[in-house]
Amino acid sequence: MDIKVNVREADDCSVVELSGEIDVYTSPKVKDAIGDLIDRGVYHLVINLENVRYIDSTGLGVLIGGLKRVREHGGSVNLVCTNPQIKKIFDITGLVKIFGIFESEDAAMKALV
Amino acid sequence: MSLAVSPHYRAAYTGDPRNVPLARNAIASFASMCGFSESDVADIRLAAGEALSNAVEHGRSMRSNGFSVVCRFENDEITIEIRDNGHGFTPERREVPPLEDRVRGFGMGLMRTLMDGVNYDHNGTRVRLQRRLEEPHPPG
Repeated sequence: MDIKVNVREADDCSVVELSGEIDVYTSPKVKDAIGDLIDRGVYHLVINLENVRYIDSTGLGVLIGGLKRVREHGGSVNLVCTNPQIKKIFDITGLVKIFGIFESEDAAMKALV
Repeated sequence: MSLAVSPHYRAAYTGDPRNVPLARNAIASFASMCGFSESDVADIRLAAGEALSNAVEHGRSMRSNGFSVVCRFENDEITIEIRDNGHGFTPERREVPPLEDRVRGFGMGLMRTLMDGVNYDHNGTRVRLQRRLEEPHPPG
């Protein structure tokens, strides 16, 4: 019931790999990791949710907050998500309209604006 | 005279956010025991998790000392009641900003989509979630 955050540098972006559950307790750790990258001038992010078993509205808020910040600098955030239960949450909330959601990191990286 | 007892779960937690995953997983285990499918249990876990997060966030006040959970399964329906001692909130009166600006406020929509019934009372300090069991599954 925790979250692991692993950040990797790729060619033109950073990949934030998340594993575990993102909720009211763990989302500050995710927010800090994304915020640190943006503070360092990284505005193109791929956030990999393949190993996320649970995300709630607090976690969604952190992702949207990150997206808003990078967009202020002409950046973008793409998500990698293969878990149907997690994808369903983006469908219900309508967030599929503002996030690019991809089946693989390669596809998410290639699609970054 | 029949004295059949309906399955139920009852617990009280302190307002520590670390108790949110413990409580939602306990609720999910109860739902699984009642025969809900894996997919339904995931829905119930998320809806309950949203209500629990609200209880911890909105329940933060000088007199708040946590939240309680009561689950019942009767007539093929699970009822989850989550109660906190905080100041509450008015769920119906919130303004909804555009999607890109909404860093919060998704919880109510998720609960209403995932459950058959969502009712707040006592000034928003008590929420009751209901979901009918359509097709029983063996306990997972």
